[in-house]
Amino acid sequence: MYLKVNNILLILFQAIILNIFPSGVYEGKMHSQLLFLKVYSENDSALLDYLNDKGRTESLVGSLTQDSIFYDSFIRGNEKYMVKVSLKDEKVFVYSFSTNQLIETRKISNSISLELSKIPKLVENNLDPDLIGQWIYHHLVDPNGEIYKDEFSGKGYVETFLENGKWIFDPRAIQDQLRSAGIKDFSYEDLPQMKWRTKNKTLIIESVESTSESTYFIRNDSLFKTSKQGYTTVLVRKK
Amino acid sequence: MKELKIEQMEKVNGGCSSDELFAYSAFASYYGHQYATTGSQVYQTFWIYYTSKVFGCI
Repeated sequence: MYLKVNNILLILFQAIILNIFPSGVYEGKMHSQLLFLKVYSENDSALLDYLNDKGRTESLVGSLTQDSIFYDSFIRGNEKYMVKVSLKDEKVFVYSFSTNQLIETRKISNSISLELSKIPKLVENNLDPDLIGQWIYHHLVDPNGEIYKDEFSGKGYVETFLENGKWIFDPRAIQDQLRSAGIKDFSYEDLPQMKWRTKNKTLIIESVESTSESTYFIRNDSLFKTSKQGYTTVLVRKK
Repeated sequence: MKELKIEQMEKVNGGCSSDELFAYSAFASYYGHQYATTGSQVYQTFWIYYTSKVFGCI
């Protein structure tokens, strides 16, 4: 009976811990090499993904000790490392055995849906992993906080941020408009070739003809992009 | 903008009708203004699209 209650308490404790688990992708630099780590929970286990010397993903299962989760050591570039996740501070640390050094990593993405092996290239190309995917255009807000009446709201048009740096606004928007003007001539080849990149929390969308910048942040499933003119575009992640 | 209708299909240089050229020019002007006002990247896309259509016509 006592053991049964103890087991239930342990399961409950684990569930609470995994609920506050600081899931995401982290970056740290040690011995002149960048380490990319993905921490996440799955099936009541605290998991860590890291990239081996060949750039392939390896996974480790963590052990809970007081307010931290510790993972087994791993080798990368002839160096032995160990990772600790502090649940209290919601921080991820890397320890190097050869130098006895402990560094705090930097969270670079809240998303755990992307394969870790893709992250280094995205970071190198200044593409924030959190933006990748499809976002439904919701509405535009003017600098006074009023909804700006535009012709795109409520139609389910999608902005797509591709991993290769291409940015596409839903071709249906232009098709719909051309149709309403009685123009049948539409070709996908005519659509502007737009690219995206990020710098800190600034999103840059550019084509041969034009470049625009907006600051952005993501809260839950919503993306807020604010232009230099102070207008904010609100989008919701497509599921 | 939605009131624009193409009634005639008289072709001008570049393979579009004069009405199409008129519509593309009107859209380019409208979206150029909207982009300058709001800085919205969607308006930017539309402005680029219609501007290139105008240049494709002339």
